Amino acid sequence: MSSRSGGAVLAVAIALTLAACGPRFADQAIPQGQPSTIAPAPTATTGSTTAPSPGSTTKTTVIKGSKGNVVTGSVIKVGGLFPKSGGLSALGLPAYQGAAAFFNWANEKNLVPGKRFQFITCDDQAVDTQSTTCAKKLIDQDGVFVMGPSFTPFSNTVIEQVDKAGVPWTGFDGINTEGLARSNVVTIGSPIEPMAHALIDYWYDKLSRQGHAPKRVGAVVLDVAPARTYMRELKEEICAKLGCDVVLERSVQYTTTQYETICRDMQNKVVDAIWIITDPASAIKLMNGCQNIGYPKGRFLGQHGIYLDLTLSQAGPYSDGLIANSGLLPDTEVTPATTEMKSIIRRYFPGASLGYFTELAFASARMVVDLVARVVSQGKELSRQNMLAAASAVTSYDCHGLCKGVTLRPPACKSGGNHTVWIVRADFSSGKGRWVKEAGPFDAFDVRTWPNPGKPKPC
Amino acid sequence: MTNFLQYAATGLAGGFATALLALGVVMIYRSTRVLSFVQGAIASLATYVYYQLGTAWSWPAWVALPLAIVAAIAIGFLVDLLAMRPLRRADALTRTVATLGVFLVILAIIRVVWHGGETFVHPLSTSIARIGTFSLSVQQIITGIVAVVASVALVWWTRRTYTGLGLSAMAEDPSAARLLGVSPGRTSSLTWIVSAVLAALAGILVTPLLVLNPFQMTLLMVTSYAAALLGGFISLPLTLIGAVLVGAGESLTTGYVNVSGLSETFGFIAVFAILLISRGRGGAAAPSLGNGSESW
Repeated sequence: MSSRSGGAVLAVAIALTLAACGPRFADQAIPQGQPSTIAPAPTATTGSTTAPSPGSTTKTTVIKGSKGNVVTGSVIKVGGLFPKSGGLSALGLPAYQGAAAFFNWANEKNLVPGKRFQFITCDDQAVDTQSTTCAKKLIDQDGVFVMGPSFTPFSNTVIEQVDKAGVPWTGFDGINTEGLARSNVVTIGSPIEPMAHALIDYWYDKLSRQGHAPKRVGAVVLDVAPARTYMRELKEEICAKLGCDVVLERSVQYTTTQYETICRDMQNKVVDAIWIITDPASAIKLMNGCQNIGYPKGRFLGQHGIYLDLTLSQAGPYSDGLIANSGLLPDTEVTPATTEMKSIIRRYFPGASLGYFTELAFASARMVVDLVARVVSQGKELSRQNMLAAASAVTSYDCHGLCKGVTLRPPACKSGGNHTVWIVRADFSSGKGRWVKEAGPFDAFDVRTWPNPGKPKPC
Repeated sequence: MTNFLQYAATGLAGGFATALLALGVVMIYRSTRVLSFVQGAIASLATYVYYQLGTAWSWPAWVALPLAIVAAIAIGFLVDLLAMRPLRRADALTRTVATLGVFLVILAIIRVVWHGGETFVHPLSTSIARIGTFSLSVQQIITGIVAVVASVALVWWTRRTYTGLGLSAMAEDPSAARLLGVSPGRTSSLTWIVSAVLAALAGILVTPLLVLNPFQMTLLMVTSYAAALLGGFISLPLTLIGAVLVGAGESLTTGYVNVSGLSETFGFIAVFAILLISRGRGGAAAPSLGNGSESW
C-alpha cells in the first residue's frame, strides 16, 4: 500500500504544481471597482489634448466633439493581452492601466466624435498557450476590430495567429523581433536589439570614463524570448566589439527562489556588474537577495523591463544608481506630455506604477485613437485596411511628445521602428527612489556597436 | 570548500521555511492520516492578510503579525469545520483529495480579494548579520530560530502533553483514543489550527525574501513533501533536518549546476528520489493514506 500511495502522492503533487503554474482563471475585461472604458461621455470637449511637437511630420489630429453629444453607436472594440496575474503581473497590470486610462479618457473627452472605444483585455498570465487562447477569444468571440496596446512576452506565439485572422495589431508592444517583421503590426515600441546596443554602449562608455571599463559581465536572464534576444546581442555582437566577456549567465524563471546563491556565484566570479534582464519582480528578488549576502550596491545594470516605480519602491536604496533604457521620454521629465500622461493615468488608477511599459501602453492607446481619428477625419470607412493605410502615412510620430520620430509604416523592421533611446537611472538623493533621466535621447543606430550604422538590421 | 559552505548556508533559510510547512503536513498526517495539499495555500492566504495589514495599511508588524496568526487560526479552524468534519466518515484518501478542493477555494478567495497579482511584503528586519566575510539577513536568522523552536515545541507537545499524545492516539486507534477521553473533533480542529499557524509563519517569514503571489508558497510546499518523506511523515526532528537538507540541496544545485529550471524542480526530484529509495527498502518512507474511515 505504501509504495502505491507514495506514487499517488507524487502524482498529486505534480498535478498540484502544474495547476499552480498553468492557466488559471478566465479574466474580465474591466476589473471590479475600476471605471469602465465605455463610461458615458460627459459634456463638451474640444480639440486635441496636446499640441504637435516641433519637428513632427505627423499630421496633428484635431478632434472636435459636440457639447452634450453622447456616443451611442459605432463602438470600436480594441483587444489587449496583458498578464494581469501570474509571474509577469508586476509589469502587465500597470501596462494595462496605462492603456485603459487613455481609452477611458478618450471616451470621456469624446476625442473621436461618434466613436467609443471598448478596450477588451484578456489575462494571458504570461503563459504562451494562454496567450493563444486569449487572442482567439478576443478575435473570434469578442470580435475586436483591432488588437491594440498589449504586453506579453509571448506575443511571438500569437502574432501569426492575429495576422492570419486579418486583424491589425496597432499598439504591439514591440519587444519581440518576430512582430516587427509583420505587415499587420503598427508599433511605437522599441525593439530589443537597438535598445541593447544603446544601453550597453552607454554603460561601457560611462565606466570607461570613470577609469574602469567593465570586462567581466554577469547576467541574470529570465527565460523568455525578449531576454534571450538581449543576451544574444550582448554575447554575439556587443561584447565582441567592446572587448567584454559574459563570465556568468544565470537563467531564471518566475518561480526561482535561490537568488542569494546566484549573488554569491556572481561574487565568486568577480563580475564588474550584474546585468538584470528580467521582469521587475525577479529583479527585486535578485537585489534583495544580493543585499542579504552583503553584495556591494551600485553594481547592477538593468534594462527596460525593470524600469518601473515598483522596482525602486521594493528594492529600496540598494538599487540606487541602477540604469535602464527607455524608448520613451522618462515620465519624471517635466514636460506637458508627461504631466498630462501622469494626470490621466492617476485619474483612473491612482496607485498605478509608472515606467516604460505603463507609458508605452498609454502612448500606444493614444496612437490607436489618433489613427481612428485620422481615418474618420478623412471621411473614409473605418476599416482595418484603412487603419493600416493611415499608419503607413505617418513617418515621424512623436507620441504627442512622449516619443521621437517613429515611422509607423509596417513592417517596423524595415522602417526602423522606434530606435530613439533614453537612459534612466534610479535616484535616491531625495530619500525616495525615482527614475531620472541620465542621458538621451540618442539614436541607437548611431552607437558604435550597431552593425548597420544609421540603418535598421535586415529583416 | 568555502563556496560549498556558503551555498549550503544560503539555502538554510529556505530550508527552515520549508520545515515549517513540512511540520504542519506531518502533524496533520500523524493525527488524521490525511496528506494535506492545502498548506501552501493557507500560508499564502495568511501572508496576504499580513500584507494587507502590514504593507497595504501600514500597520506596525507587532500588530499585523499577531492578527495574521489569528487569521491563520481561523483559517485552520474553518478548513476543519467546513471540509474535514463533513468528511469524517470518508477514508483518508478522499479527505486528502478534499484538501485539493480547499486549495482551489483558497486560491479563488485570494484572486477575488487581492486579484492574484504579484506584490511584496515588508520583512520583519532589513538588517544584515555578518560573521567575517559571511553574511545572512536577520530575517533568515529569525526564520531559522522560529523553525527550530516550533519543531522543539511540537516534539515536546506531542510527547509530553495529554492533548499532544491524543493526536497520535487518535491516528493509531480512534476508538481506543475516544474511550480514553480524546475528542476526535477537538483533536482534528487542534491539528488543523496548529498546522495553519505553522504555514502562516512560513509564509510571513519567507515571502519578504521572495514575492507574494498565490502560488509561490504552493511551490515551496512541494519541497516540503520531500522533507516530510525524509522524516517518514512521523518524525518531527527528522522532518526539520530533511527540510534543511533539501533547502541546502536546492542552493547547492543553483550554485554548481547552471541549468535553467533545475533548482526549481529540485523538490520534485527529491520527492521522486526518496520514493524510489524507500521503495527499494520496503516503502518505509512513503506515507500510507489508509483505507478506513474514522468513527467520530
